Amino acid sequence: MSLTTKYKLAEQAQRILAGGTPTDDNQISIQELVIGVSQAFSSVIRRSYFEGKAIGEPHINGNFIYSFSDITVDRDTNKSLYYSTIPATTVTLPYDMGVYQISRMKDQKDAFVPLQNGFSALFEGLKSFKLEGRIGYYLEGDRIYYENMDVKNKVSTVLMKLIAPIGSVSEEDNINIPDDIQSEIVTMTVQLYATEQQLPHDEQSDLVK
Amino acid sequence: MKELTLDKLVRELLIESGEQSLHKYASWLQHGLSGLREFNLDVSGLPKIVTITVNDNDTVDLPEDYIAHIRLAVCGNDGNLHTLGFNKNLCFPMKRNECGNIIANTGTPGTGIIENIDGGNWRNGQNLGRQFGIGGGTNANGYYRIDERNGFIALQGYSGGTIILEYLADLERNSTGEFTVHPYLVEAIKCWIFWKTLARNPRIPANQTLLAKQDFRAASNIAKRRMVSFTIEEAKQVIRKTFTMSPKI
Repeated sequence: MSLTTKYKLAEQAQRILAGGTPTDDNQISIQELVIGVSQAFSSVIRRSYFEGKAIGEPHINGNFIYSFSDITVDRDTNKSLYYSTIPATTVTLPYDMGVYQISRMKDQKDAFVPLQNGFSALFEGLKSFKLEGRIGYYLEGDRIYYENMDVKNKVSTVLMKLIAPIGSVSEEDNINIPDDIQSEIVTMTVQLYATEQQLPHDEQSDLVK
Repeated sequence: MKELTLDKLVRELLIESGEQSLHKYASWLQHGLSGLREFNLDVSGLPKIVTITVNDNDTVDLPEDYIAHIRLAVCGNDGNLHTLGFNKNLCFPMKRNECGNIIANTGTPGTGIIENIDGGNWRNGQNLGRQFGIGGGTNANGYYRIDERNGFIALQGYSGGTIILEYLADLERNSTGEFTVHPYLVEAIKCWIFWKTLARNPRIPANQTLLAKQDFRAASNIAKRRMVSFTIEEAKQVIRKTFTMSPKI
């Protein structure tokens, strides 16, 4: 199986937009199309998740899950919580499922429990607050905060699995995207930029539209 | 006894429901705990027995996990528990001293129970008889009344230093700090969690919720029947209690 790259997909989209082999006069650069490809990729995953959910089979394809090793755990002294910085952007899914799984580096069996932001206030004083001895985490901005992590069970690095963190993949890195999804990504990218091409362009910088 | 932990039960249910990850774990764990607590009240709750020291003012502090009492007793020399009697006439609020502390109720337990109805069958220290029809229910061990609002048991006519309280306690973790589920309750708790997740979701059609509720009731009935089941030997023992010796003719 040959894998694809973001660059290849962007190139394909550029060729379609140019109506053949693109020339130097091409208005939409390949770099811009690469950004479009990343955004389209996330949209396609999100849509396919909800399509699956509609038929009762919400499922995330393993191709879209990327793991990041040795993500450092630091201490936020202001909040008295441990946290990690999320290594890449993810897809917006229910239950913050974009962050698919976090665990100790060599103990994926005892994965941390995903929580909703606001867990502490909601669960404080309840018997379920302790999460049956598991470490929990929730998302806040570009950070992941850990609950039930203290000096005794603190870990220095974690293994983080994210869904479609395509922004962290460079243009030339191989990515495993099924052919049908590739087609969807290219179509979406083309549709996005085709609108731009149809609009009248301001050719001269003379403060007149 | 081999019991399933609530953690494993929730993960089993996640798998059976087609979930791929732990993203619903926290909310389902909370539902599971609610179900477990519900069953603890009248299906699976086992009596907890503690020996409590009696305070100087003849009161006993209720344990923090106390829900309802089963019996208050003292362990006799015969190795059996001898229960105290319940005196609903024991004065509340109890009298307090100058410092505001509760002082012991030094009344006589029998005062409100026997002598009010004896009709004067004692005169000059002599028993005149005429006690036919006097009710029972008196207790030589002493009496108690529970003040749940203030969290103590008041004793009357009890002279021991400690007392045994058998009571229904709130849910508690096992020795490894986990909640466990009795094997008979596993399916019922799973049905409870599923039903409650549907019932709390306004987008779920009512008929689907009702079906889940029916499933829960069926599983709950099976669990209840299993919990109250007894062995053949126990049944035989009860039947034989009515057998009496009789001469063979």
